[in-house]
Amino acid sequence: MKNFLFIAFLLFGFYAKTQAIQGLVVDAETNVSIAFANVSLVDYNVVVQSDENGLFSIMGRYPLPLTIRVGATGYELKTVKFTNDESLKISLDPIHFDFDEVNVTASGNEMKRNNVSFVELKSVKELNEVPQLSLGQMLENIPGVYNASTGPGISKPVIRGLQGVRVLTLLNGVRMEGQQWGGDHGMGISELGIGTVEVMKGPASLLYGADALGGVLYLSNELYGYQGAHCIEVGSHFESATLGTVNHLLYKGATKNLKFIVGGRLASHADYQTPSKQFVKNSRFQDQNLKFGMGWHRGMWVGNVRYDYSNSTIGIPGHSHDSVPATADFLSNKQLRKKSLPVQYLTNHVASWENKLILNRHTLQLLTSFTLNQLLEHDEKVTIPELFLNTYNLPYKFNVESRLKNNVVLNYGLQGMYLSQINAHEAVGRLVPNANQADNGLYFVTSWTRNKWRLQGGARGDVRSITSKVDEKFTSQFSKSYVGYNFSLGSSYEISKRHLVRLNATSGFRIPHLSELLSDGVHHGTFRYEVGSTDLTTEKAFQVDFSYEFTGEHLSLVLNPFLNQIVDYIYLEPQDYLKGGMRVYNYNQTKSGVTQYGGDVAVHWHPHFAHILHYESSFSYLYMQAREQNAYSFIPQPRWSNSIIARFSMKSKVKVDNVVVQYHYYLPQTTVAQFETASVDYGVLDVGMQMSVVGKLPLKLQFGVKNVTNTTYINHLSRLKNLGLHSIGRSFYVKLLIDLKIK
Amino acid sequence: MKNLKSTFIAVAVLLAVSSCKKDECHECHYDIDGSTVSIGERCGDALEEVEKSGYAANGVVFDVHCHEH
Repeated sequence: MKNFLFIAFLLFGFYAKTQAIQGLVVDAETNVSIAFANVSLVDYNVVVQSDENGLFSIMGRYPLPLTIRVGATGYELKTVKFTNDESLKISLDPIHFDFDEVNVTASGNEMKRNNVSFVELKSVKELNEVPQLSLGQMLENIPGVYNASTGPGISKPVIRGLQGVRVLTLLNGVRMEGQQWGGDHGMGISELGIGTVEVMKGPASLLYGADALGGVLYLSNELYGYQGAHCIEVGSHFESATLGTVNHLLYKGATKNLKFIVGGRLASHADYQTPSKQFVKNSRFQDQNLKFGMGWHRGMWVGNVRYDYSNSTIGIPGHSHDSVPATADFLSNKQLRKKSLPVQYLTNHVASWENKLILNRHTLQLLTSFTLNQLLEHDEKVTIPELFLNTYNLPYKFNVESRLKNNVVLNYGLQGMYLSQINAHEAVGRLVPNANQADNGLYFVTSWTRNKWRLQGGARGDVRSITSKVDEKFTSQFSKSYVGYNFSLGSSYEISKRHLVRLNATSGFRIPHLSELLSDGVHHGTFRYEVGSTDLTTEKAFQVDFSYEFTGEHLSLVLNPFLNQIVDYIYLEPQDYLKGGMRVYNYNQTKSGVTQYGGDVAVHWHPHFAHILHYESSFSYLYMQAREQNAYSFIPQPRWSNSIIARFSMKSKVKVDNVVVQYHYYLPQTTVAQFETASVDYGVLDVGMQMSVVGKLPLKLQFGVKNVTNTTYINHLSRLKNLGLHSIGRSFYVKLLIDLKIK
Repeated sequence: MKNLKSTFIAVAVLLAVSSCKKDECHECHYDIDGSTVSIGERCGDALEEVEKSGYAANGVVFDVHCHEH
């Protein structure tokens, strides 16, 4: 009974002191009210918009104090504490020009500027100024991030040259465990309802545990929408090079205490067209996606239930029965969409339940989730699968954020997962045995802020246990536990409002994946016979990352060099014999370390003499070295990306919003492993325009041309490179978007 | 709100209809001495059976493929 009363007190004891929050948003210099400012309750996922007179009202009962964040176009984002029942007057400082960038990270619900390491934070809208075919392709617009592809249907993120099991992907905080270990398996996530993408480059095991060695990709849903309003978004996108269509419907709405996001997406692409007007056989793919999210709050309790479903049918190009196939064997004069072999059916279910208790100085968060990744691969038979692998996972995270003092915050908690990998009996082949895996980690991170300094540091310990099961193919059982200890220590110093420097040292570790330990079979998608080794130990990484940010009136600049040392690096060593008709590759480990160094430079210039223009340019460079010749491969080509956007603010009913010109120049890559060839430089030019029609049915229309000059090229990270298959040729696109808001 | 409801019902019906399972049909063949011999179209259970058990011709059972390359 005592316990019950205590829980009831916790749930309802500190109950709200305010019925509704009302306020006014004004310009700090002129005191003129600001219309259509976004006002959000930081911890509650509640957003409202100020009216024409700058007035806003947030419905509901909330415990005090509250953190309120206010932003408007042309003004600096401001965070204020609301401590009493009185009406609020929030004044915003005007900024000379607006970069129109997102500023708040979803991973830590924090201003990007407050992080002690540089975090790339982009909205999906920013990444789609020229619409892309997949989320993987969109990510290539982020400095230091690349896309390893097997045609347009299969793409994997590459961060600072590392990919697959070395990059951790999280969807709304849920760890995606699927086929990231396979070179030919895509992400299984679409851009449907995704609002922001955060990229943490380099090791981040302190916050995310094992495997966050190369970097972390954190994807977050769009906000639920304005309180008291309903939004319906209908979109249709056509691409000429794949005769591809992508259609989606998304609903977002919020009442006083409940918030929803619901959507669906269908995509269908035929074989893609190369610059020589031929089509790459079986590069076709189809996607179906569903998204559901519901949030609520009651007093100090905030909850979210989310579910994402994806189902993809993906052709695997580059398949031939000839022992010495020619490039022409993989090309056709016909553009087909119908399913052909080999084919992958990839299904993902991601369900999560997040609960937060917001107390006066402490916030308790419990995230429990379930994910199922199903990979079904047919190579030679239409009805008999070659591979049928189910990966079930139960990730969890319990975090406590304690504000010890006004300038000292401590985060601590537990994080882990219980994973089970099961081969279905229908499949004739199996690459890895059935196995169970349990991860548990304990961590703390503390941050201290004083004047212009911010210090953050923490430590973490993790244990992973792996147990495999015996069957007719894998006759010996494997059972082992791995331990990892990690730390992070970083600092930022705001020299002035314009200049900011950061220095951060982090460690990371990666436990050998089941496929690296226990593989023994043909991996068709990668054209290899892979053999694992149970002697592999954990990979360890240590990175020092420095960043300098300048934010002027017309110019912003980021310099972000780094040095990363990885020891016991696991790699595939090609052997000089074949098995099952494929070259044998053994998993091996370096005796010395692999050193990576490089960095990104990004500039955003908004010239004073031409206020409609935005020029963005970034340069990414990476170098890797190791004593073993084959330790690393697929080092991305250095990239120089340029974008010029002219943004117009017309008053007419039919208006031009922007005109975009993008040019990505890839420099040659000559640092290669055995059986890997060098890549030459190339440049791709894209142009586009966005128009809108204002009225009862607001329309947005994007159209343009990608690869305008029809350049013939093969990216160094394309798995089709060895087959001599060129990337996509000139492609015309049209995208129509209807965005309805109903109050 | 009425329009909103109708839109969701229409989408739900569309998804339900498009997810119905249909019998797959494929042209099948076997290879002999470097040439391909077509054995015609097979559907559903017959397709599964011919892929699993092969095709018997002149007392020899051939491995059957039912897809194009």
